[in-house]
Amino acid sequence: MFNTFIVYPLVNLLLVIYDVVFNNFGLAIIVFTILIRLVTHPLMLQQIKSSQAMQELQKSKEWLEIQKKYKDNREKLAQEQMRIYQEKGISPFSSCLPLLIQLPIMIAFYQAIVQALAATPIQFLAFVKNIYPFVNVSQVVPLNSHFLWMDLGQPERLPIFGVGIPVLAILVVITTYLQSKMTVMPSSGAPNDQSAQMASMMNLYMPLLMGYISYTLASGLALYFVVSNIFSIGQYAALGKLDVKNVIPARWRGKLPQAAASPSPVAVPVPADDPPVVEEASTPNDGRPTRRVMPKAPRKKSARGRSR
Amino acid sequence: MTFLFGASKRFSLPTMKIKSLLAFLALLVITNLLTACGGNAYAATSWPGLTVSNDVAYLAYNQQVYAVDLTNGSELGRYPQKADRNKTFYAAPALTPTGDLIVAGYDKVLYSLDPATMTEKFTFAQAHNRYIASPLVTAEGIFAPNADGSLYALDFELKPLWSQPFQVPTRQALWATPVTQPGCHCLYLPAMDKFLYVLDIQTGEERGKVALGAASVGTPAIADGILYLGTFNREMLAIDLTTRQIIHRYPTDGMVWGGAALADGRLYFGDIEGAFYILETPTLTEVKKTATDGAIVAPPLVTANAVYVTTESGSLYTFDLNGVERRPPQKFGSKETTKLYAPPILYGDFILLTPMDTDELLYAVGADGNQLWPPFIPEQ
Repeated sequence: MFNTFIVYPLVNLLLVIYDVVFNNFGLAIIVFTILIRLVTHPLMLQQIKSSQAMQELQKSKEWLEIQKKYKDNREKLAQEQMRIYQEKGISPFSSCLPLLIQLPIMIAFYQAIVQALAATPIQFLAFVKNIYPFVNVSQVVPLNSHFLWMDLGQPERLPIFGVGIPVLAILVVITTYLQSKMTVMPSSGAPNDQSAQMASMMNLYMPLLMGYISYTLASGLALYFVVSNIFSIGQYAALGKLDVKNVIPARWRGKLPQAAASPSPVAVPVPADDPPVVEEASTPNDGRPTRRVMPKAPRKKSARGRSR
Repeated sequence: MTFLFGASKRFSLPTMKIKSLLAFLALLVITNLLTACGGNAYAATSWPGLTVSNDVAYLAYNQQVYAVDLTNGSELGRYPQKADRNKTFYAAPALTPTGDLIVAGYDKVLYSLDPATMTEKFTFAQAHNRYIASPLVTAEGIFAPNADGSLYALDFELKPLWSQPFQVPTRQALWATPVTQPGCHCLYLPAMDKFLYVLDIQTGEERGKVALGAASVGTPAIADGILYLGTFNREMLAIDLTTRQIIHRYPTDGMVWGGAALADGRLYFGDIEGAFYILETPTLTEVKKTATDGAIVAPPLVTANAVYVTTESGSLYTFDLNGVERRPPQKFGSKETTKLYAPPILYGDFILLTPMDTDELLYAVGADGNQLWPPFIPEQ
């Protein structure tokens, strides 16, 4: 079902693009990736808006107050949270739904590339049997998988002084890291923001795992990852949601001139009985108001709050 | 996603450690799934390859090559002794005049084995991609096509014969075994780049090429100076080897994957739409066209009075030489998903079948459908 209605149409679309871009599979992957990213752009936009609304809500005074007030009564806390959601007209699932819709498309896209790169007889047989009649099979099959120095059906290594350097895998690690750091939504600022902690972990693991996948699998996929990451960064930049300062480690940000130092929100672990003071601040670069969460009282030891 | 992690819950180090671990494990699972999508050593990525010599079958499938005693269906040996996930074998092994067994691996290595002990004698590891097709072995040497677009010519100790391997200009893969013709000192090599190359067997230099119009992965059949070859352009071609011109074309329902079998002036082959054809040569005039229950990717086996055709649905069809079914198709394999992609091989009065996606790896079937011995299932 998934293959019939999503993967195979994408495979055939990829073949049509391949035919159009002079039978260059590398270019076809790049065009295809951008096309899919553009198609799913409204979903991404919706996801960003919903996430922002959720986080604005979680930074609100009312929200923080009920966290404190009902910290020992989880049932009541949940009821109050739902009441606020309803009052504000926010669905906690609304930020997740676009992501859930995008996910199958991305998986299908990945599958389409894997299938089109068919490198073994079984894969190839399955591939050619699902090509639509309007595709000029004799013209496009087999795909010319050579692009620049790469064979897109093989893991990529650029021989430099006799040593095969996995350039694309390195690029995947870098762009995945940059994308996750630069496009991360601001922290809610709520005390004990575990989602920020999770995001922080993801920022670390994801580039490494994506790099591993790119190192071991067909380089066509690595090309897709790189293009997808770069385009995603571009999308966020176009929307004014890019936070370049996040790439700079927190400890270095303080040493930078004030204009460059991050005024971005920080989540500081503070005891629940020591509510933070929320104060308005404005970012000098985009003028959008943000909130900074400051510890209420000076601490004996310096706050070890990490960014986000 | 914040709500999923319960932002309101109190932060505690053990909780975070568990969540961190779970997040890491989740990513690991995703990575593993993605890796699996790209193919791994355990899932078969092609069908078995079989060669028979002196009552012994050499069967290459997945991680091992088995030597099977055809008189009783028992295993005589295997290579490697212990399965290695970095080594997989599908191409039919080939025997050299010196008695060695040549096995082509997906690990980019060509192996020469002692068939008596199934131990390694020589290796050739200069290819850059998988060996999909079986090597051609002649008195001159071993000619091994590789998916890196090169044809490697080696002596029987796997040392290069040519100053450099022949490489397809576009570097498109070679999935077909080349053929030769007595007296021509040449090789005919179909390539995925839509050409048939004619090479000097002594030097590997290109003598000429024929544009096929589409890729071809089947081994050509040659008779009376005419070469017959099916293509992905849904046609069977007859090529005059003297003029190197296509002299006849026959349109098929689907892509022609496997080679054709030639016998008594007739050409027998199938396509991936499941149609089985009998054509008169050299004109490619249709004698009979029959539908079967699945894609045909292997060349049929033609005996003195029957034609055996294997299909993707795991069926063995038996026709007479005029294409009339002699008996209902017979199914093989203990699983519903069993497929018969590999060609049937003749062994005495029996037909050897090598299904995939089932536990049974080798059947010996008589003309009446009875089996010589219980199917060969390798011990784990």
